[in-house]
Amino acid sequence: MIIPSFMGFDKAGFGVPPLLDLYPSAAAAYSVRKLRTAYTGSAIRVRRSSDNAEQDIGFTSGNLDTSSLTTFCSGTNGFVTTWYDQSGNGRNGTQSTAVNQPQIVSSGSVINVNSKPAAQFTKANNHNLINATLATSSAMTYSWVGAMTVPTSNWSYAFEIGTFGTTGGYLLTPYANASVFDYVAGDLINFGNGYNTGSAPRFISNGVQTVSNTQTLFNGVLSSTNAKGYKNNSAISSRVAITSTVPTGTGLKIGTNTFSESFGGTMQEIIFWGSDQNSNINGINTNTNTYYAIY
Amino acid sequence: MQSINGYQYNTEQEAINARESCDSYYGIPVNPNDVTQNWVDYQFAELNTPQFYYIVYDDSLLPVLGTPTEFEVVTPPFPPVN
Repeated sequence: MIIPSFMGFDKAGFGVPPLLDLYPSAAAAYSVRKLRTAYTGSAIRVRRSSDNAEQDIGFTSGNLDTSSLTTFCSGTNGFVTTWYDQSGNGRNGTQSTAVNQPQIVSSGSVINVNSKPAAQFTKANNHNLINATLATSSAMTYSWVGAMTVPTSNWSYAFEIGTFGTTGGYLLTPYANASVFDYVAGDLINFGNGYNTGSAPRFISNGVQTVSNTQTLFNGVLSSTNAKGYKNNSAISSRVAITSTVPTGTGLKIGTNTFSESFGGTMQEIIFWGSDQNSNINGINTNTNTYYAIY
Repeated sequence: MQSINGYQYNTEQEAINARESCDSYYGIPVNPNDVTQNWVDYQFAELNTPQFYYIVYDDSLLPVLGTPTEFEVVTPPFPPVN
């Protein structure tokens, strides 16, 4: 099939147009694939364990340049010091402490999930990446690709914007404790501002949604009109879905939260839009699944 | 309450000294402009009485900081009501 270039399709390799060419104006965007044709920067910066030297790793044909990555790491381990923001807003996720950096190369081999590179976040090591400037003050939509290890207690934060319990923006977390407020063990939750019964906006799934260590595409939409959750492009039925206001908060934490309730598992892509993208979810997910082959 | 395996310090300066020992052992930062500026960082047990500073154990710390100990850190079972 000939794909016309005027449609913005990347002809170089992976068969789908960069996602943000189709659904632009992301607030922040992190991925192991190239998300925007106009983006000319690197994908990640990596520290290798042999001598702790660092190097930027870019893209080749729209994919993470794994050849450069393995050459640089040369049989040792590689850790992500920076996950570059491809949105154009310069909101890179960084980690300046070595033991808290997620891993992407193990003994010279790139860590893959379903044949695509993935950053491994270890809960015990509080692996996380931080950006201090990402803020929410309006509707927000996220798209997340990864594989969670479901926690046996408390929470496991894939990300947090703002400060949980006060002006938190978006959080994606399964809950594992006994029932409290309107949470039940196994819930998958997107918070807005606060977590108490009645806090808004919030989305709480109806039943368990996360299968440990299984690659999944999750979306959330929180706005004054929508409190939605999607798993592999299917709407998750909600037990609690409260709207009427928008989330606010400043400061992104990928892989942890204010209380270091860390994430265990892998991540391959996280994109935030500062707008309600509910009408575009199917298109976003179709593009994403064409690349990752998740469902 | 959370049980922590790690290293406990009474003062912040002691924690800073421990962090610097790890940085020195692993040669961090390799270059001043590197993203990685510390090998490990310390945390503050602000809800404990008395308060203290601590570093969570990692295998890489054993040759520098020695054998870790188990201690309890008070954490909110659920964050404070907003």
